[in-house]
Amino acid sequence: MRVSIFFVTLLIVAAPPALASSTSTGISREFNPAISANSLIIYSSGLLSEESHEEVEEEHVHHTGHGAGLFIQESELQLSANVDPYTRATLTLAMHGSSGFELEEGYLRTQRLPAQIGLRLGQFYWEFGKHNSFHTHQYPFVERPHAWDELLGEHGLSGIALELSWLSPLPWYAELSGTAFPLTHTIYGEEAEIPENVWGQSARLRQLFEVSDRSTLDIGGTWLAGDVAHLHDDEIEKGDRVLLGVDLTWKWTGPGANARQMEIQGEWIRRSDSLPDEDIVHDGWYLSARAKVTRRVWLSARYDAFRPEAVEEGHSHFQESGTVTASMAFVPSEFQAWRLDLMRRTLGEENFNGLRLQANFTIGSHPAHRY
Amino acid sequence: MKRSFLGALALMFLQGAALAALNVVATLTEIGALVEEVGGTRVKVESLARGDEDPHSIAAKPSHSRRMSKADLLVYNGLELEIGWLPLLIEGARNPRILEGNSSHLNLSDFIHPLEIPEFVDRSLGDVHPEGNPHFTLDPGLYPDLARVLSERLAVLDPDGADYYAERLDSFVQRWNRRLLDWQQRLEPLKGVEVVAYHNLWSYAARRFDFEIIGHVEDRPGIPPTPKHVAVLQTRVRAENVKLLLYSDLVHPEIPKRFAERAGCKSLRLPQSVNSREDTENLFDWFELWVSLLEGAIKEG
Repeated sequence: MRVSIFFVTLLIVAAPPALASSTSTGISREFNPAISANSLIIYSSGLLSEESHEEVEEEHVHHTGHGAGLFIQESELQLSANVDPYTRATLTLAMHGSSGFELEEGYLRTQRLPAQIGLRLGQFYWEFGKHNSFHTHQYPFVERPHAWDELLGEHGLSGIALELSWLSPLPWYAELSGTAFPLTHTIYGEEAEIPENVWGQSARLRQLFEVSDRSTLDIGGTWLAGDVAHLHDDEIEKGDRVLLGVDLTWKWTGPGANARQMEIQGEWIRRSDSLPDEDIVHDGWYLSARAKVTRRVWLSARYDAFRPEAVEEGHSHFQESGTVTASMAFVPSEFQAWRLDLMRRTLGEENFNGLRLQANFTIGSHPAHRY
Repeated sequence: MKRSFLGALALMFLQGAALAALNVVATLTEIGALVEEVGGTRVKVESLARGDEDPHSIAAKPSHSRRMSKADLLVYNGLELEIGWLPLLIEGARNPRILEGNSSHLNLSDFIHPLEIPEFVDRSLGDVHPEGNPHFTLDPGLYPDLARVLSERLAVLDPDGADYYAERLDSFVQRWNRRLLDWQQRLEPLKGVEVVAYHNLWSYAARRFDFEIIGHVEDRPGIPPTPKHVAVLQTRVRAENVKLLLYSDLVHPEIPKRFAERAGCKSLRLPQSVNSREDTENLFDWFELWVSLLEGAIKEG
């Protein structure tokens, strides 16, 4: 009896490797998610005067996570697939420089809800205007508008959230979406401890009109509300934060293969913090124009401005700024682009010039970008 | 006043649905034209791509998603021709009916035998299609079979119209086969003729009309040719006395014309699809123009 128990036990212990081997080879690769990787290599340089060298170095660090020189700006790994008949999942891991991968986006999106309703749950860039939803490799210029860093935080508005959206039955494209999110440091404040179970919310209406066979006008408006904390004289003041945004994009595409394209885009954001003793209002905007002038070459220009409200000394580190960027991109194929950006920023009363040369390449099966 | 405004608004929402049994969205104009032939007045068809747009790179406009949100049937080419934009539009449409696996999702390439399935796929080869050459809609001989597939699918989705679709199918196939015979007779002199093509568009047509494409100016799809490749091909065209370079409406004429001048051959611009130029409003007119142009070029020698 003991012997038979021993043999049965041996059989059970010995069986798993054989079974595991058989099972693993039986899983089809057809079910693997679409995988893509993207990397941005950048050469960054400020054309500096000696006295402003330090400040501009800080600017570089602020925007790119690195100082001047040649480095990897960001790498991204994206996986996406249908989970089952009801949902689709997307997972995006991003590495800034060589600091290690972190979860940039990871969410589930429904596919079968009735009445043109969509639900998204997870971590993602919230629907706030146009630029906020772009991944770094989608930026039309090497850097985000300076005002966006100041108004929305270095990584933009993103985080764990629940989004409900509805595609209206109107004869033109009109989509209404609402997002609820637990507060994060981006909206609440680096200095203060994030309160538990306090949620912010946003709503966005996006409409797109086909102006002609070749051109579209895309108009959006976004509202976001949450709590905020400010550090003032070593004391934390808590209040309400409201963000308003308006965006407008006109696009034109010519006929034929490798068609000429033009795009004019503008966005405006107003951030209003209501604190017990005062209201602090900042706003910023950009206007950009882009044109595909030959099969492989894009020329672009942008002006962006940040206008902080004057506040008492020591309360705010913000400075009024305006940045002009001129850009030329060489796009040998849809999987590779080289971009040269020349920038001139007026920060307070000083001017800074900068240069960015970026190589952007993608391998694997990368999904199409939104219009 | 208020009542008439609300009435007009309601009419706007109901427009289309009340007039036709099925809302059909087709990706390409030639597919849309075929749906119209078979579906007649029981279908309302919208084509996403314009005739003069490159089907590889249509802008994924949200307005296209809106069109697809109410579709009873989505018909597309397949073989990854629309891979760069259609999945995004399907996701944006939030229409469970048109998801893959449903009867409202029709991939026409499932019903043909693809040519040129590559043994090796890599981006260094350009914008290659791993499942085979996707440009089968340029072979008029495939249309009767594609029409049959469409008729059966429309009947599944709209059983009350089954007889109507069957009648329209018979009528279309009879008219089409007569024209196909005529086109084949007129292009008889093309048999065995060697040509070069700008883009790899006409493999299916070459098989149908028995002409030979000895090379492509754009040797790696979607990537501009290297000067070396162009020079080698021009030398070959001269050496083999190739008479004709074919290119489509989508290509700027200057490049093929320059190639043809240097290679000592003629260049011929062919209509890419339905509505890619004037007088190509339906399938019959499109292929009639296509055949006439080729016929004329061959006669001129």
